[in-house]
Amino acid sequence: MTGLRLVPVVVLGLMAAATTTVDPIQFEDCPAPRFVTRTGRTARKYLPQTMAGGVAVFDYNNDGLLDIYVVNGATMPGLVKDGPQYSDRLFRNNGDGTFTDVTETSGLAGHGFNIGVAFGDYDNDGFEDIFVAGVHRDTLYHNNGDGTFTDVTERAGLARPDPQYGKFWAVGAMWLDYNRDGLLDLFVVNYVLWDPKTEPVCEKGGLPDFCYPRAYTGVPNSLFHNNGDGTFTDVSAASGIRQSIGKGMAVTAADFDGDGWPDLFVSNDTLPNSLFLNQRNGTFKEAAVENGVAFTENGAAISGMGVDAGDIDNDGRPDIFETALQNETMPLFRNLGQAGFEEITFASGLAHASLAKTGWSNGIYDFNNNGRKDLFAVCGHVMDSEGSLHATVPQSNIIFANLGDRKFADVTAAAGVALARRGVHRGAAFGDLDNDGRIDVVFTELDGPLRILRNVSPAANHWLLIRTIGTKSNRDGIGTRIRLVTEDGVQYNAVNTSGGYASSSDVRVHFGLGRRTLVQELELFWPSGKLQVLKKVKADQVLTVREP
Amino acid sequence: MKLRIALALALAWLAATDASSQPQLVPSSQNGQTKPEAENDRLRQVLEREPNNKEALFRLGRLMIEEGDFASAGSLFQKYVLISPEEPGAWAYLVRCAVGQHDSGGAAGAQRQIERLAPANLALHTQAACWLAGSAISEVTRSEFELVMSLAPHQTSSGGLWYSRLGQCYEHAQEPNRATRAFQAAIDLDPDTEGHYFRLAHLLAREGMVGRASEIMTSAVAHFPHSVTTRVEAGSLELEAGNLERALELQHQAADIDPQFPGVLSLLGRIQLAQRRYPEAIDTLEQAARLAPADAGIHFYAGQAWMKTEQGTERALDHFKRSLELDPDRASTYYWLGSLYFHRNHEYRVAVRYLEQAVDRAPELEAAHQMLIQAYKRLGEDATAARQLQRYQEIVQQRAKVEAPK
Repeated sequence: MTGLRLVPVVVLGLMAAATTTVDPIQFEDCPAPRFVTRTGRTARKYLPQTMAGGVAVFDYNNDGLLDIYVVNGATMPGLVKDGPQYSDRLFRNNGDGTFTDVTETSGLAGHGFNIGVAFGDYDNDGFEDIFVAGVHRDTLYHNNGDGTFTDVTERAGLARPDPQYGKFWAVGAMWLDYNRDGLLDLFVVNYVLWDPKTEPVCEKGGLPDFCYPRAYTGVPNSLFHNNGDGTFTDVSAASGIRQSIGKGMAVTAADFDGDGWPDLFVSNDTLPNSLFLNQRNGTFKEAAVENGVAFTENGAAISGMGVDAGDIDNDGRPDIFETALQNETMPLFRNLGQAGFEEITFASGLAHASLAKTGWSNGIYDFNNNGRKDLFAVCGHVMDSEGSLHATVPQSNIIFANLGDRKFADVTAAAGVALARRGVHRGAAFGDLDNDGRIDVVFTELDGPLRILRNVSPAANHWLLIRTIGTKSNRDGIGTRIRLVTEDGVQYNAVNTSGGYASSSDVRVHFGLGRRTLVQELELFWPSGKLQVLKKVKADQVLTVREP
Repeated sequence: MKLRIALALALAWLAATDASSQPQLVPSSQNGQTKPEAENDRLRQVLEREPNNKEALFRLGRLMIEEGDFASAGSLFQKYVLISPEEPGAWAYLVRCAVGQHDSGGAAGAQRQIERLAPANLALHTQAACWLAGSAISEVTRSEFELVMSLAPHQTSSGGLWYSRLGQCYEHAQEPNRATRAFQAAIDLDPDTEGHYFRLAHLLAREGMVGRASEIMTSAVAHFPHSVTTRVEAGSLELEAGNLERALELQHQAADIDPQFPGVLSLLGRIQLAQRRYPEAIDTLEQAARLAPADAGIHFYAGQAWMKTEQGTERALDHFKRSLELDPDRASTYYWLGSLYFHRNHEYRVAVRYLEQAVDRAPELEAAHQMLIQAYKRLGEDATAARQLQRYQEIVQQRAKVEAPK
């Protein structure tokens, strides 16, 4: 294979099609651990059955290899894991393309109907901990550092029902240090008020089907402040987060307004998106409408699904890529600075290809290592896979190559048959499973197997993976903004494990370097406020950077 | 006299209905006074000469109602019923005045008089019930509405028109349950008028009762086997409900009856739009627009089709503008014009002009508020953007109240 081979792609547009070239992106199926995401199928339809499938890729045992943790459903409407088929699973990466199921020894089999997962080292002990978001029950696992985990939910103060809404149905979560005190705090995405006893009955084409979100009442999200002693305080109200009622599906964090503090973007289902701007005093101001990200060009609140933040045009400002329901497109919001955005879904070429898809988990990564971040989304319709819409529910995933100049091309067809396979996909986590510098994808399918897409993109482009170790900042370095300079120009990225839907991705920051083998300058803006500068960094390595 | 006043009421209602869509006043050619002002002066002069002139009292009372001066109108009609207490039409206008002044006691008293004097006068009671629709005078409204409904078994098919109007009043007042009952009564009395089915079906669909709406239109299709309009309406409803296959089936049936009927092509174009077959949708809707150049809806959908294409922005703008010329009240057309000028042409000043019109007509159109705020910011008018944001936030607060758990 030659590194410089380019493939022609058609820039989508009905009236005028332009052809350009791009480094190919290709994936192949990699044998995945045996696991099926169980939804507790029943004749009666319960909404959580459409939502399972969270997955995380992270290094739980610090051996330098990404392991896989998948959460699972339960019986419905009982919400009980009454057998091993419903067990959440931890798979240790053996480093040779195989995985070992270590669920039993790790203590991570779980309870209840789980949806999402987020990992982060909340106690700064050097081992990644796990938060699992579920229906009426969340779980915080502390990593003991010896391959085992302890359920510390009660002790951490995270098991209490909400005084106003009762038990929340959480679908995802994110670790971030919103007040930059060196401790990871926890943001939990809550979906709707739900009770199996009052589940509405809906049908489509005369057959039972899941109800639309509008049949349910929205709720606020939750923010928990890390007290530094293993406990958390619910600061949802004090921080201003609770003022916004939504039907939360996913969250991502980035410094959208460029003030050095992490802001939050939450995608909502059939309600306007939320943009929480950090006020630098422990509070947030919701400002989605005034910054142009609440609604799309289509004029309505979309069924927001997954969301990721990343700098698609290397201008130093994180942009937002959201997935949504079929016929709604997958909105792409370009950051204009000061947290103002413009939607470029149509202008970028995303609109037409994404109209036919219902997207779930998604990610902004440079899959062909050419220095420009591409877009990936797993897809599958919401409604019943057995009922009247069965023919259109399974969908193939989609990948858009970044052509530069804020243009994208749908390169799914050229990315290999593994990508084109149809399924009712949900969660997806991104990371370099084999440390070859190319970002792989792990994703789930409702009542279907776990899958791994190994990135085999042929271009011999160079890369850099950066593992940040905070000392004054949180130990994962989450929130660290990185500026990278090569002869080709400047790129930006940030440390973040959240993104997509219900999933949690490689904490290491990935850069594609194209033909450059040397990074001239690397600047790290740590959450503590420290600026660290590295010079003349060689490409093609996993670089560990300790906060000075 | 009773008959005259009842007729006058019906005509006045129709006139008022027409007037509501043509609100502009026409200056008189003589002295610059508008016609209502001149009529007002003339009637006052008559009443100065003849204080008990019933016709002048009645006409001036109606003029005052049209101007929203319910207190003055109430005084005139009170005087009228003192002179002629047995005329139910005047009492009906007193119901209108009471509603305008939120006077529940006055409304109840006037309603009792209508019931006493004309217990079975469908036109009069329908009018009173319409005036009461959506008012805070809930007990009188309920009583008058039920009275009208109780008259239904005694009506002939011509009564269907009144129940259809009653349904429209309650639909407009966002009381769908009452509107549904009224529309159903219209169908029961007058099953041979297609419009009754359409109104009920669209109401039910808007309220989320898609299955029942579909049933209504299925019965209409069976009742009007040769009607192309019924099939187009039924197809539109199925399309809006997302049942593309059924919509296409109905479109084919309609095309078999009259393939060149613009509505048939419009429906096909909309189905193609939903199927994302944009070039075909453009061809179809352009053909429909040639056949029915004065159909605002067809131009609207043609604009929607063109804007899905990269090179179609100008054609989309043309169609949306033509649609606006034909139907200047459709908020969504203003929105799309604003959106195209904002997103595609980056002409923010023009976008603002259209978006302001959109939010004026449909304040609940939240996306228009967002775009308007963005447009003002791009124009550097931050203070206006902030005011617009405040308007939007009030809407959000209202929504939060509605959605808060009980």
